[in-house]
This record gives sequence, C-alpha cells and structure tokens, in this order.
Amino acid sequence: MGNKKILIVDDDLDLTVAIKAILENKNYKVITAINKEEGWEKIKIEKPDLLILDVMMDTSHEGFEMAREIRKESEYKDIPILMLTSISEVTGVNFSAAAADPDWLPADEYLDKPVEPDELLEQVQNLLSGEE
Amino acid sequence: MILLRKDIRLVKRTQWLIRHRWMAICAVIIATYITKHVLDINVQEIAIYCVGGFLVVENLFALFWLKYLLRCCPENIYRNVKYNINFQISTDLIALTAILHFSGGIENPFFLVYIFHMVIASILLSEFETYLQTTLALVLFGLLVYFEYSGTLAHYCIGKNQSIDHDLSKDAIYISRFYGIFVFTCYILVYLSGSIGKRLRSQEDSLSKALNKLKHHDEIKNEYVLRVTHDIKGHLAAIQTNLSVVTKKIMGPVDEKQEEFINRAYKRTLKLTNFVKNLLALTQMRLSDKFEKEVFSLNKLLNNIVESVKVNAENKSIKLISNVDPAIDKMLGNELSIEEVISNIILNAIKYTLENGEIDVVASDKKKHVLIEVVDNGIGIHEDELSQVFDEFFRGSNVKQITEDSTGIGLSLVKQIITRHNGEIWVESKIGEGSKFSITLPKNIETGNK
Repeated sequence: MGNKKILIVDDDLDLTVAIKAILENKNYKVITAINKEEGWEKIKIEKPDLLILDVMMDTSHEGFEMAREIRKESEYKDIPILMLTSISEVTGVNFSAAAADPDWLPADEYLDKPVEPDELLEQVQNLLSGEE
Repeated sequence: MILLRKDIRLVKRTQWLIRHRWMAICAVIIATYITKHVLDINVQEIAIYCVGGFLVVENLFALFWLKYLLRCCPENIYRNVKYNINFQISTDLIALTAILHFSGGIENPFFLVYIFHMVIASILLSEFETYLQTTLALVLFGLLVYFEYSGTLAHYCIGKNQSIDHDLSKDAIYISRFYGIFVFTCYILVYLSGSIGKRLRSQEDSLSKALNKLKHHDEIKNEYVLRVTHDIKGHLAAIQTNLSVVTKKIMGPVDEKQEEFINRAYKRTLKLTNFVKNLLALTQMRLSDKFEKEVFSLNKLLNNIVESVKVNAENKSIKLISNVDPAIDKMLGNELSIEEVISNIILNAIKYTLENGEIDVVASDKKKHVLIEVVDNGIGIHEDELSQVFDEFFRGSNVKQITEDSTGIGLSLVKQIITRHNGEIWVESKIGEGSKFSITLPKNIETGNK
C-alpha cells in the first residue's frame, strides 16, 4: 500500500471521519478539508497523491469547480480525482457516462454515496496504481 | 407566441367547418344531379352547380385566410378567426338562399338547412353574433319568399307539372304563416342551443383550469419530495458509511452480541437508502421533461440482465429460463432505465417465487415494438389488488410473509419509465399459481437503420 497521501474535501464531517477511518486502516495518510478554499491550501502544503472531492459543498457544484481548477494548474493537474456524488438523481447527470468526457467533468472516477468500504478502497487503489 | 387553449379550440373548430363544407358541396352537387336526372324534378341544375362553384371559392378563401392568420398574426387570433367564421357562415347563407331560389323557393323543404347554420353559429360564435347570423338567414329567406311572391324574382316551380293550379309561392296567407312560424322556431332554437353551448364552454373552461391547478400542485409536491428525500439521503449516506466502518471491523473486532445489533441497523439503513434512491429517481423522472435517449442493443441488454440475475435465482434453486428472439436488435431509449425496469421485474419474480420454482423470460420481436414477458410460478397477486400493483407505496397483502424488503416504489418507477418510452406494462396473476408481467416497448427506430 505504501504511505500515499489522500486529501478528502467534503463538508459532511461525519462522512469524512468514516472515510478517513476506512482509508487509514489501509495505511493511507489522510488529510481533510471542509471546502474548496481549505482544500486548495492543503493541496499546496501537503501535495497529496489523490483527491477525494464531494460535489456538493457550499454550492451545488463546488467539487466540479475545484476539479476544473486543479486540471488547469500544471503543477497539480495529474493528481487523480475521485468524485463523491449523491446528486446523480437530482441533476440527472449520468456520471459514469460523463466520466468519458474529461473536459466536461474533470474527475477520474465517480462514486455514489453512501460509500461502501470495499468499493472505495478498490477505486482508490486503482487510481493510485494508475498514477505510477 | 403560444396559442391559448381557447384559441386552439376555435381554430380546430374552424378547420372542422371548412372540412365539412367540402362534404356539403359534394352533397349539393350529387343531390342536384339525382333530383334532376333520377327523380326527374325540375331544378335549375346549371345555376345550382354555379352556386356550388361559388362555395368552392368561398371555402378555399376561408382556408387560406385561416392559414394566413395562423402564420402572420397569432396575437389577435381569437378575434380574427371569429371574423373568418362569420364570413363563412354569412356566405353559406347567401349560397343556400340562392340554391333554394333555383330549386323551388318556399316549396323546397331544403330550407331547413338554415337551421344547421344557426346551430353551428351558436357553437362557434358569441350569443350576439349568433342572433345576427340567424337574423341574416331569416332576412335572406324572407326576401326570397317575398320577391318570388311579388314576381320580382322568378319562381321555379319544382312540381313535375308546371301548371299546377295552387302555387304555394303566391299564397300570401300560407307564406306569412309559414314564415312567421319559421322565424319563431329559429330564434327559440338559437336561444336553446346557445345556452347549452355557453354552459358547456364554461364547464370546459373550469375543468381545464382545475386540471392546470392540479398539475401545478402535483409539481410542487414532487419538488418538495425531491428536496426532502435528497436531504434524507445525505444523512443516510453518512450513517451507512459510519456503520460500515464498524460492520467491516475496520476499527477492530466487535463482540458478537453488539455485532448482531449493528448488523441489523446496517441492513435497515441499506434498505432505507435503496428506498430513498428509488423515490428520488421516481420523483426526478416525474419532474423532468427531458429524457436522454440513445440507440442501444436491447437484445444484448436483455441477455446481460438475465446473466447478472442468474446468481439470485440459483441461490433459491429457481430455474431461470430465458428466450430472447434473436431478431430483436436496436431500440431508441434510455438504456439505464430500461435495464432498471427489466432487472426490477425479474428480481421481483425471483423474490416472490418459492424455492425450486421456475421463471421464464420471453422477449419477442413484433416489428415496431418488442414484447417482453416475465412469467413465474410464485405466490401470485390477489385479484382485487392487481389494479393497484403499479401504485406508489402499494404492497400486496401476501408480500409480507415472503420479505420485509419491499418498498412499494419499484413497480411505480418501472411504470413511469415504461410510460416515458411510450410503452405499456400490465400484469396477470393468480394467487398461489404465479404472475405474468408483460411489457411492450416501441423500438422508435426505422428497421434497417443502423
């Protein structure tokens, strides 16, 4: 597994705590932020290997915004992004199909909430191994 | 500019009037021909054909006028179409008077046709306009009868023998009595049909208003449900993920007794999440007008679904037999939701079929559409509950003995999706013997296309 660093940006603290526990159990180093602003600070300081972003934070698409911004910064554009969604029913967006269009939705993978530990770990592992 | 409901109604009725005039013109010509050549009654054939020609010109004019109105000035459509109708009825009345003149005047019972125009006017026009048209008809008819009586106009007697001794058109007492009664009858008739028409129109308006109001309220309700379920889902997601940390023993072992309770809580959360997801999907579908469609292979999809639910059937030792017609190929629709529909129906069949049962999935090609049937020999549905199977939150009375899992939303979502695809779904069932769900889905694709 190695000591890969993962940044979770999500405003739901209860969920973040659980995800953090699941990941730390597999020896990942986990940092958290509660919004885009704090997320950017932590990216710059901690230089994480993977980002887990929640789509809906202060606004309904803050996660998308942040992912697009990251893709524009040459220094960070290669960090894999896993997007947590709970809004696929609300926005009517088919995320798995949209994943094929990186310009529109700039994340690498999408995971619908609630997060299942096995699924989460598998996705994280895939994204991190793909990065190397 | 969008036409209002009453505008559309008026335009449609005007088109109806124009369509029926074509038939009336044919009827006049045929009737004249038969009267003259078969019945051998003396009518002024050529003159009547000329009036028929005049009616053709009138009808074409009315038709193009209406088309012009629809294209150029939809803002005043209601008033302008009414002018058009008034024009049509007035010219009809003139033509009718001319036909009567050439076919015996007061002797010809054909004068009753005036009544048609009065009824049509009372349906299409305002009360005032209807009385105006009625008066026009009566004045025209009155003038015709008078001029024929006074000799200003020739009277074409329709009797076979031109020299009949009692010519009705010259009998002043007969004419005035006849005409007086006709006038009286017409006004009463117009009054009656007008008041019925008015009542019907106002009922129609209030019904359509009520319908719009209901639709609006339904939308508000759906938006409310959407918002609430979405909020609930957020909390549920946090609860479920936190519980999973314990059930997966990520933070270390849990003692057996505690594990049992946590597992119960976890399972219930899964069920609730599922319920909320379905409710969200259903509400979302009801609220959204657009529905993304793509061309996909229904054949492949059906086989994949059967393949993926096979495990569930095997776990209960249920024989799952599928027979997908190879002629079924592509269809236009939302693949994900069709998948949801079919797997929902098959999983239901598995759920409500006892061990060692049998389920048949048959898909047959019907050229323009596909018929999919899922037949099981499970517990069945009570006859008096069949009509409610697709209702939201409905659960069959015998379902509880089998499972606690049923949310009562799955089948309403299924129905909603099928309806969105312009398809149909129905169920036949006998308690204790099994159920058969049938779905028809239009392919919405030209055969040979792609």
